[in-house]
Amino acid sequence: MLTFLRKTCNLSVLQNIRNLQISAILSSDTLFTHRDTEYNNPSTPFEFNEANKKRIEAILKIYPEGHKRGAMIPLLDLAQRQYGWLPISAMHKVAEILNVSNMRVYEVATFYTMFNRKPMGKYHVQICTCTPCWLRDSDSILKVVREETNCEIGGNSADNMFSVSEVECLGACANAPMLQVNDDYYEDLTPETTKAIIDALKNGERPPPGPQCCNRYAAEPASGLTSLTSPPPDPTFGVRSDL
Amino acid sequence: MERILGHTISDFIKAIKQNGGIINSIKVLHRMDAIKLGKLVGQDEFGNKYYENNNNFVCRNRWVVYNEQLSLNYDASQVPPEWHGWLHYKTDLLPHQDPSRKKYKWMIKHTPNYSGTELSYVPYSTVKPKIEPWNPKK
Amino acid sequence: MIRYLMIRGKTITSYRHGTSINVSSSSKQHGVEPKTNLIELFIDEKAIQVPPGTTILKAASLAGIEIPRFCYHERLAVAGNCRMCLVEIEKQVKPVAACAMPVMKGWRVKTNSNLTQKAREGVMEFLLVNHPLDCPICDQGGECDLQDQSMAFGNDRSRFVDIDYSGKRAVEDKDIGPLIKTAMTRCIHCTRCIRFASEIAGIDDFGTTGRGNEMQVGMYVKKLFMSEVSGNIIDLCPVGALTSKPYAFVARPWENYRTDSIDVHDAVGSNIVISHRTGEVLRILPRVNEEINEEWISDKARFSYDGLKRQRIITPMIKLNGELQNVDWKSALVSVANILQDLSTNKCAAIAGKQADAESLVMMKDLLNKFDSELLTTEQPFPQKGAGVDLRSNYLLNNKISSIDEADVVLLIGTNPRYEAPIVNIRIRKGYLHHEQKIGFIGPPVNLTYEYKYLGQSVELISQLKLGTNSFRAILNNAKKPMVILGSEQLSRPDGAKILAEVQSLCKAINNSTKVPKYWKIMNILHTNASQVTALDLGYSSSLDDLKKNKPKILFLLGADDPCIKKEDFSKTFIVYMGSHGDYGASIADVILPGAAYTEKCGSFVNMEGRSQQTNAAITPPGMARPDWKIIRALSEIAGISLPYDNLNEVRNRIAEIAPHLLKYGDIEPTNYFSQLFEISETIHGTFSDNPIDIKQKTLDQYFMTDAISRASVIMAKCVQAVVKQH
Repeated sequence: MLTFLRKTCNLSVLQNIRNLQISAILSSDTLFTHRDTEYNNPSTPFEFNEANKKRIEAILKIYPEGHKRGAMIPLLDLAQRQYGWLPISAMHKVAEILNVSNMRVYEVATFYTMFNRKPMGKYHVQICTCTPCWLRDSDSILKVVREETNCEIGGNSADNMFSVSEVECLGACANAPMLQVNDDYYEDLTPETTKAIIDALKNGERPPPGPQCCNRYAAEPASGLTSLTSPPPDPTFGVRSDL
Repeated sequence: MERILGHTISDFIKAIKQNGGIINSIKVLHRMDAIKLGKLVGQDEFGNKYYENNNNFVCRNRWVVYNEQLSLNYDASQVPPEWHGWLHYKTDLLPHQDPSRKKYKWMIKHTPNYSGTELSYVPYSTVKPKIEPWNPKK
Repeated sequence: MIRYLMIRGKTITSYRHGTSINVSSSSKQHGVEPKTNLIELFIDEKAIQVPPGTTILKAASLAGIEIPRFCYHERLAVAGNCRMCLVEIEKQVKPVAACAMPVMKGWRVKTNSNLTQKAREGVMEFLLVNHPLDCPICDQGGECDLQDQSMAFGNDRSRFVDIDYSGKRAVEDKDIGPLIKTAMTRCIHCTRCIRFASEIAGIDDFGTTGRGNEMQVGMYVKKLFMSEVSGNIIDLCPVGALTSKPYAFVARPWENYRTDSIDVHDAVGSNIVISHRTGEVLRILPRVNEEINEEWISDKARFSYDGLKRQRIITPMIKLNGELQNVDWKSALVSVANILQDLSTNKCAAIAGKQADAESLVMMKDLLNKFDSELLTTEQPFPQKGAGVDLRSNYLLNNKISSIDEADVVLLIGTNPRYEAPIVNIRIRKGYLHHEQKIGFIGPPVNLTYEYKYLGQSVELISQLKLGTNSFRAILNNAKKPMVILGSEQLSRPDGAKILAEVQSLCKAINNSTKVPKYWKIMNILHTNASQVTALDLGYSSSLDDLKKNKPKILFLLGADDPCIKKEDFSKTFIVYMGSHGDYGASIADVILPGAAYTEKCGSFVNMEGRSQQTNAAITPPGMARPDWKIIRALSEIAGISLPYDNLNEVRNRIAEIAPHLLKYGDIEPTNYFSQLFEISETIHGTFSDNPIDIKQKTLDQYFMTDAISRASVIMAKCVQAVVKQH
């Protein structure tokens, strides 16, 4: 009887299974190798438009002969702004313009996280979750953004309006928490103001960037200026009167 | 000298007689390194003869004289198992006197150890040949 | 310290007096030669003087102190990213990377101080935290820099306790072709492969993608590493990230036997080491020879060894009723000897194949001469008009392989060095990168991994250059060290003699219009076959047309497999094939005598620059096969004219009688008689044919299978497939 019990227990509990070592948890939401997809492959059509071609010419002029590859980041940025993201064919195009091997462009494009190598929504919402923002409850902002845009971190919304990503410090710690939508910073957020911003974006508006809560202009103290309150003295201040 | 002479001169003469005269005894001495006097107790299917002489002390009182056709190419593995038992004092009963000895149809005939001869067993190779020769017909 | 002051005092005196005469006696006394433009420093209290700009690591190696390193490699650019070579310099706060730091006067470098040791241990620990512990299943085990250096410089205990089983960094493996196996988790990001690919191989496909912990070495896209010298990154990789695919899980390095030898797949004569065990060649590695291959070898040399095990002729064969049948040596030799009886003049002939060694060539020549025949030629005909084989400078790469990178202008005519001699191409690329070499090219457009001025494909261009009507001539005229390299393939054209003569007069014209150093030789020929120079040195001076004309009764193919030898041309000839592989030559033969491949015999080979080297027998020939010269010796005995050479030394003595330089292994006899050569070349008249210059090996897939061994190799076939698929 007891033996039977023990055997059934063994069967149900599944003892003696060795712990297998698993690989490290993926700490980045992007892949650093290219996989051909139907929307991103070497034959994806990409060509700079006329306006950008002129800008490329101007950019290339900045760099001396033999150092033209210095224009790689501006060119990649142009391509990304034109296409919305960076398909591999755009990287090839840049390589062709700069006369470097494709690999050198891949290296730069994969190194900088602001180059998006997969399709992005119209609005790229980047929420800072670094320590200062996190201390000011960026988690709630992140939650609101995810709920409102209905997309996961590192993903796009179904209607391709939004892409949400979690980023490291964007350098607006005095106005934490903050998020960035395309080129605009929205600072001093609360869940309510965040929702308002996302709603406005959904309606096709561009909410005014900057601090959202109080009457702050930029990064000055929220309770009003504590220094530099008076207008600056004129240039003659403290200078000998006989001069 | 003692091995040749035995215990007594009479035994020695008897042994020479049993081995078929002086010349034959020299031949036996050449082949077996000893001339022994004993009683023939049996012969196996291969023609090996088994002798016993209980005047000798144990371990020297039973011996085999291999089939003469083998000449000098004899070895201990030519003794079949039933005689092996008697020869090594596992039993004192001779094979044909032993009632407990099983005899089944499927028992195969005794074979001596063929190592070093053409009949020796060679395991076949399971390894692919290292060199793939050219086949002009292909 | 006292010594330091003494040396300093001496340099100061010499400086004050403006001469070093008055200190020379004292300097001799102390064994230190003060030189004004040398920097002196102390490495582990050892004084050393080095020229300015030398790195600490190099200075240390001059002082006989080895500093551990992973990313640094003598032949590649300095990267300085592994940090293993950190050393302490006295009075400096932080340890510095020795591989990238140029020395300064009076530095006291400590390569074994506590700080240095601690720095190394730290670097080692960081590397090992992200390195898998799979040494038991890693092919690099036993020859792994990481293993060795963690033993020598690492900490003796680990702080890596992965109690949560969260695992180490893991990186996806890359598929970069049938030759190189990758295990990218093992990569320590030394970037040696990246630097090799972009600097030496000229295929800028490797790089680092991603950043931080996610950084990985790879190609970003999935593609083949399309290089003819790709195998070298296996040797460069200090860990097991890049290992040889054909050698995967085959053997451990310490259980292999190593035999030094020479590669015979091209005419470079790269030095190799054959790793073998249980009578099998397991892999082939390069051997350092600064004069020839530095430390690189081509993929064909490295990976075609599996061809040595396939398609082998292991028994003599005789054609009976139109089919080749296996026979024993006696009947095969007797059947050949029967034909050799009662021959009139020039009724027996021989063609030397790509990989024939000097020993068998000289035996064959002696055998045929005994039968009153001079019909000896090579698979790739060399024009006999003009100087022919009488002047060595007529058919050598006169200017040595090692000085190719010194040249400032190189004109390549009808040769694709990238595939015909990858090691030569590496040299040209080195010159292109480091010495601003200009390269001109005549032939079909090919990718040479460096930029060149494309002149065209017509043969007439040579005349134009000679007459000065081509603009490239001005560049050649302004050159200090110009080099003209003519592909040997062009010499087998019907107008080969004319091309050779025209190129020679071009060289003469260049020589007249520019002032080149005395030792510098403009005229060079790039050969493709390993045996070609040897055969020409030994006087294989006939031609294939001569052979056809004479209708020989018997024709020996000494491993000759070129389809230019047609059965129809020798329809009434008894063809004897002597070689290691069943290939084209064997298929048209009446008798086959199994010979040894280059890994199975001791043979002398002369490379394209005229340097004699020898292969060593690593393994025994398979089955009934024998070294070729022994076969000829046995045949001569049966044919009734015993050649008087019974062992290798006697054969080599015979070689020394004909061409003594063939036995000066490793040396080059400088070529000369150029003015005579140019004079003779002017006596050759003829016209160019209308055919444009063509090259057989234009793309990578044409490179892998060029001789009997590589054609039999499965690995090479896979390479061809992979390249064809990539296109």
